[in-house]
Amino acid sequence: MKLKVEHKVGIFIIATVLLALAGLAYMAYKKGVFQAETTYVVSSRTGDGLSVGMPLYFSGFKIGKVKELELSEEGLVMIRISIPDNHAKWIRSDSKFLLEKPLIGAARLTVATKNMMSAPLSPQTAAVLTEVNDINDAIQRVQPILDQLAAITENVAALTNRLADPQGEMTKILKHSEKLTASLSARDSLLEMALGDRKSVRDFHASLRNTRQITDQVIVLLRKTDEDVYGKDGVLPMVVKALRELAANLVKTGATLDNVVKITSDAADSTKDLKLLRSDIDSAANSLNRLLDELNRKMPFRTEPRIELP
Amino acid sequence: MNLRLNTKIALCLILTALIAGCAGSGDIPPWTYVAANRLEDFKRAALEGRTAAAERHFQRTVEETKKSGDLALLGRVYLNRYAVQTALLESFDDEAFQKIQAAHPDRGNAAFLSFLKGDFHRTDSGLLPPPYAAVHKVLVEGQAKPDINQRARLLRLLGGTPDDLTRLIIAGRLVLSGHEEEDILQEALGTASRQGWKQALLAYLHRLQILYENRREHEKSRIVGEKIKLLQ
Repeated sequence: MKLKVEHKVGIFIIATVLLALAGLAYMAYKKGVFQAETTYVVSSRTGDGLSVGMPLYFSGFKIGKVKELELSEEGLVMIRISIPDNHAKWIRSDSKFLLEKPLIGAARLTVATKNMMSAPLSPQTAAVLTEVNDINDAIQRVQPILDQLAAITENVAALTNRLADPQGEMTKILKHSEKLTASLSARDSLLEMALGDRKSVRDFHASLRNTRQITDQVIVLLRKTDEDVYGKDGVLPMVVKALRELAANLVKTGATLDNVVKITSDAADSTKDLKLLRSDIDSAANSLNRLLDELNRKMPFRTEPRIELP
Repeated sequence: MNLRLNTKIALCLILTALIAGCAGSGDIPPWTYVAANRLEDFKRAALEGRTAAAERHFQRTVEETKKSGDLALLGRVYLNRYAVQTALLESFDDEAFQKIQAAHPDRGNAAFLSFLKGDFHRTDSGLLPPPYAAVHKVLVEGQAKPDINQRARLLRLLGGTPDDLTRLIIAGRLVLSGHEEEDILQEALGTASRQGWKQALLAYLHRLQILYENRREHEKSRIVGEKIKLLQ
């Protein structure tokens, strides 16, 4: 049988249209258009972050999508979520619908079911949507760290000011320490180290000489009369002078001890700041851990880690 | 540029595979990474003797795993903890695991717990991971019928275990089950030393010291004691 050209063209067009329709039908079938679905109703105070077509996840798997959003008479947002019947088994009466708003990325609608043995959720019952806002959580978590950082910065600034102040305690301590170490290194004898400076040693030697003289004079005194005791070159004025010099040396030693005490208390203050710094480093390390987890998760070509028996 | 047809096809296939690979890794739930990473941190901290850090990491692992609602997985997290304690020659309280097991029985988890507790007759070796199953078989056979080669067979299995933590867990179970032998202790010490697991190292050194003391090898015992003092 010989067909006319017009017939051949007609058959070709019909075959093409049929093929296209079959392809579309197959795609629709694969997309689950013909699959029976159950529509659940979830109410929310706000529709912020929600949109029609938004997927619903269960344990990380997409099991449904938002079909419709509408405002109820009470002013609540009623979210109609369609779920294919083969996934409806995950929706139970104690299932919690959550809108997760992560720190980075778009909002995500998830459902979590604690007890799979509980009764299935009735499509006539409106569940309540709970909002999990990572941004607010993050701000709440970061706020104490920022407060601590501010306190540490203030402490560091105060310390720096104290260190940099030419009239400050640290400068004084350094000057005193410099003097102390210089004087200690310049000691010629144990006696000089004990008394503090060469003048004192000289005075001490002078005192010794004086004492010798006193002894001589005492002998003379014993030989002479009492009036020599209270005379211009007598024993008593010399003893008074030696005692005064000794008292002056003791005052100097006291000042050195005060400086040592001050150095010790400054060191204790520094230790407190170090403790604050340590706690801050701990917080920073925890933040870094979180960041690494996030980076790990975002890394392409990585497979999902699984918890196995060791 | 003239490319041969085969080269063009190969390039297309590689490109497709790359695109598919990128697309496949897209949506991994965050809890899986956090839980798996914290569990690894827990194991390392516990074996190194950083107890407070280990506890913190373990609690975080539990919290993250609970997000999945998967009780078998949660049970496995607790079994990891008990296994590390066994590797450290410590006893453990399995109350938390038993509660999970009562709500959601898992035969594989139950078999591994029986092995960790040394309850070999109740252990179904078919459900154990291969290294433990092999050791379990030798132990059960040895209980049924005395075997003079049992020690050598156990030592060969221990040395042939590729994973260091698994080897230490098996060594721990053997020591706790009465196989307190120098070769096994030395194998465990070598593993702990190579990985820098100080807590494990000290635990096995203590056992070795006691072993030498019981054998009246006082000089060897003294040297191990000195080593413990220097490492603590």
